[in-house]
This record gives sequence, C-alpha cells and structure tokens, in this order.
Amino acid sequence: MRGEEFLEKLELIDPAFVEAAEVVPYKKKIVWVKWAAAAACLCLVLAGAFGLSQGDQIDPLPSASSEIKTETDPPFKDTAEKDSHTNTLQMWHEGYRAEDYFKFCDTAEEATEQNMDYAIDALKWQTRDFADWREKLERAGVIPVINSHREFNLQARYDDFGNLYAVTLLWSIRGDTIEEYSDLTVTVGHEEVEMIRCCIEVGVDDDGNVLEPTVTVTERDGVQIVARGGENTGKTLTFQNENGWYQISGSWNDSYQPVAELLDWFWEHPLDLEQFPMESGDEYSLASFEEMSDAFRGILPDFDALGFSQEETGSGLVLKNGMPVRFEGRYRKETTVTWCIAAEPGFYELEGCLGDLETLTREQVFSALEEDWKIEFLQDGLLVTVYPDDPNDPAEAWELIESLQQKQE
Amino acid sequence: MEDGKIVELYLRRDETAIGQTADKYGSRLRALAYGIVRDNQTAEECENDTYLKAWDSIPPHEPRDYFYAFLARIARHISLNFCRDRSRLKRSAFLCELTAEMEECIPSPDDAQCRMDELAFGEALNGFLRTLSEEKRNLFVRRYWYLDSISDLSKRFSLSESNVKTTLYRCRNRLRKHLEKEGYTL
Repeated sequence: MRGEEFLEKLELIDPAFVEAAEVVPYKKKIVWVKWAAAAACLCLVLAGAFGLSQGDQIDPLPSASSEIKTETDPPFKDTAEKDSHTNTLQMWHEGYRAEDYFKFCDTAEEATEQNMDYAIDALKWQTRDFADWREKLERAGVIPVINSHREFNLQARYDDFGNLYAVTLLWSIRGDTIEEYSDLTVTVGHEEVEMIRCCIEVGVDDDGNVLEPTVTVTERDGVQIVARGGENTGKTLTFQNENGWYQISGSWNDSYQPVAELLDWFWEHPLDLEQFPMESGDEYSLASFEEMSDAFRGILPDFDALGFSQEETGSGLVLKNGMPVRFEGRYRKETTVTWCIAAEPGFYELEGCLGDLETLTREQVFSALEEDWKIEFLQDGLLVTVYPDDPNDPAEAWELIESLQQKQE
Repeated sequence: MEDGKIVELYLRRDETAIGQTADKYGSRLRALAYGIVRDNQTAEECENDTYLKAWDSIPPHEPRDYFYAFLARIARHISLNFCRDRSRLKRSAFLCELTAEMEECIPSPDDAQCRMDELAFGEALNGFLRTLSEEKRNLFVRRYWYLDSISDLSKRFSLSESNVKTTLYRCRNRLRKHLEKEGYTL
C-alpha cells in the first residue's frame, strides 16, 4: 500500500471523529504564527457593573454537559407565539427558559465565530489585559463568581487615542475529556453593530413562501435580544440598550442555561466600560529570542555546552509589559526537543505537572512520556514543558533535565 | 430540517432532498472541497457531484446519525480524484507532501503487495484515534481527512507551526507502531 492509498483509506475514520473535528476549537490569547507579526487575541471585555452587591454570583453554573430539556409544548400562549411559526418575535416573561431564547435558531450555523468576526475587527485595536483583576472584580461585585471555570481572561480594546472600544470577558474550563470543555464569553462595547438593525431575518424562496427563520428574537423590557446558534454549536445572545452593545456567547459544548444566566446577570448589572483605562491594563507582545537573549537566563539549560543547536524557526518569547513571560525554543542534537517556559501558567496547564525539577527521576520522566508526549515540571516557580519529537527516545530530553538538576546542586 | 428527515426524503426518492441538503450543508461541503482543489468553480462542481453521489447512495445507505460526515466523505473522495485527474501541479505538490507523511504510517512501505482487510483496518485506525486526546485527534483528522495545511492548522488550533508539525510527526509514529502491533505487516 502506498501513501496515496493510505490517504484514501483514511475515509474509514469514524464519522463521529470527522464531525467533532469540524468544531472550531477555543482560540488562546496569543496566536504563535510568526514572530514578527502582531498578536491576534480574542477580546474579552467585561464592563463593571453598577451597584452590585458583593458576593453576587451565578452559583453554581450547570456543568458543560448538562442536558437541555426537550421542548414538547410552546412556552406560552400569547398572540405572538400563536401566530405562524415564521413569527420569530417572542415576548420575555418571568419563567422564560434558557432554550426559549433559541427556539427558532438554525443549529447548522457557527454562530459564535460569525458574530465575533462581524462585530469586532480584531487587528485594528490596541489591547490590554486585565485577567489578574479577577478576584478584585469578583470581590467588588463587578463580575459574577463562576467557580466551575478556573481560567479567566479579560481583555480591552482601545483606539489610537486610548479610548476604550470594547471589553471581552472569557471564562473557560479545559479538561481531558470532551465533557470538560466550556467557553463562556461576554463582550460589551459602545458602538452599535450593523447586524442589530436586521435582527429579524425572514427569508423567502423563489415562490415567495416564507422560509423557516434562522434566528430567534426575544423582546425584553422593550429591548430586542437576538439569539443565534443551537444546542451543539456555538450560541450567542446579542442586544443593545442605553448601557451599550452586549454579546453573550457559549461554546458548542455549553448548554443554553449558562448563556442565559450570564445575560440575566448583565441585564441587571450593566457594565461600566470606564473601569478599564488603558494605562491600568497589561500589554502583551511578541519578541524573538535574539532580541532578548538574556530571557530566562539561568533557567534554560546550557544547550550549546551540551551539543544542541537551536533550530531557526519556532523559537520566541511572549512579553508582558516588556518582560518575558513565555518562551518556546527547538533544539537539536541527535533528536529534536521543544523547550517551553511559562511564568504565568494557566490553571489547567498545571494539571499535568510532575512536580519540582529537583524531585524528577529518569524513570518518572520516561514513564510520563509513555502516557503523554510531554513532560511538565516546576523550576523556580516557572512551568517548564518539554516535548521530545520522539517520545520513545527521551534520552536527550532527560540529559537536558539532568543538567539543570546538576546546576542546582 | 433535521438530518433524519432529509434522509427520509432520499429514501422516498423525493428530489427536494438535494435542495435540503444543499441548504443545510452546501457551504461546508464547498469549503471542504475548496480546501483540496483550491478553485471555486471546481469546488462547486465537486459539491454538485457530491449531491448526485448521495442520491445514488441513499438507499441503500441510511446515514441518519452522521449525515454530514457521510456527505463530507463523498466530497473528499471526489475532490481528491479531481485533483489527481486534472494534474493540478500546485495541488499535486500538496498531495505529495501528504502522501509522503502517510508513508511514514505504513508498517511495510516497501511492500507493494501489502493487503489490508478494509474493515479490520478501519477498526485499527479508529482504535488508534481513540487513544489520542481530543486536540491531537482533531489535529490528525483535520490534517489527513480534511487535508488542512500546516498554516491553517496553526491558526485553527492556536499552535505554532513547529508545534503542529511535531504533534503530527508523533501521531504518525504512534499510528505506525499501533498498526504493527495489530499485525499489519506483509
């Protein structure tokens, strides 16, 4: 069998895997595409709430794998609902369920990606990060407490004059199984978005017959909330009122419930965008290792002395306020090893950590590579991740780790 | 319209089945085909051929559970054949790169007489994919089923290109070892 035949035979892959791979994964804060390019980030902006009580929280949010009830009867009997199913305008009421917001949505659409791209042009703004403010903002009642989501990002976008344009907030869960995945996003901005003006979409076919609508619109307190997406796809709730333009999003693995709960929260606690001045946020940028060759000195192994040469591509630094916080480099002797350092690892990044550098043993490292393709350990409070290209030949990776242990003695 | 209902239309030989299929999955199938053939007109041809093939295949197939994957498999096959038949040099280079990567997975690449029972191969392949984490599995499927480029994968998964290449290299090595263990030699 030749390679081309093998490529053809891959059509035997389980269709469940094929469909799962269609889902666009979570985009991390920094995209490592080219070291000379600007970072492209998802913006999470959370405006401060007005007059919130301390300790207000959405507690607990349902797990990402919560079942959504199957609707068997219409939620209410008012005139709007009794009209033809092509009437997408629904009236909110006490007892309005999360799934009611999405009643007529087309589940085939990737709502989150579409709306985010339409709403915000990611590359034309300056960004600042406020992820370190999570506890402070929770204590002040500015953002809800969501204990189930251990990772948090908050990012603000500004124009060239330092005026804040929008704020985006992201709560995430990352685990090893498909059930342990969630991305809940809230974006708030000043500017009106074009799509709001045509939020009631009713299409017609060639014969003039009205087609099933692809969005659901709910009117609440005189404001129209547009819902897109469905149960197993990205989903969004978008509205605009006197406090700003809001978009609440859930990933394909999130149920309607947490999205609706976040909407309720910010409906009652509108955000003050002025709480996030540009000078108070953290600035992230990229740099080449050549530009900052002293970065992580004393932490990195002495690759040259050990006979390793650095590969030309795939090495670089992430800077936070001009200081290096992440490093990635590829080094080759007989085999190739990728060496990564994170000064501020995320909660889920630490879960696979084997322990401190000085406690690592050869057997532990070799055994870890039989289970996974990387080794993670702590060194002076930094998370080090090592990827041998061939996990079945980890000798050179161990040689580098052992050299660090000897340096410490 | 739900997939089950669309499949019913095919089974009843109701020609609106194709229109319903196109409405629901047309853009995704076209995008899949475009990723392989890199030409809009050709991608549309492949999309249309997919609908015809689906019409011919249902029945006997009744893909109610994974209708999209069923269609995508047809589209992929048609697009790959188109690529080879039309000798598009640019794409051929891409295919050469992919087939070279696939050669690394074959336990006995020099053996032209190697035979694999298709059903058993499928079981072994999917058994291997089940051992991978979700991200690695999706990366593998996107590269070798959807035929995404390294650059596209880097953007989609927010990984550096070197990380993508390294991960795929390890996947191929593990697949080869898995197939060897399952007894796929001459």
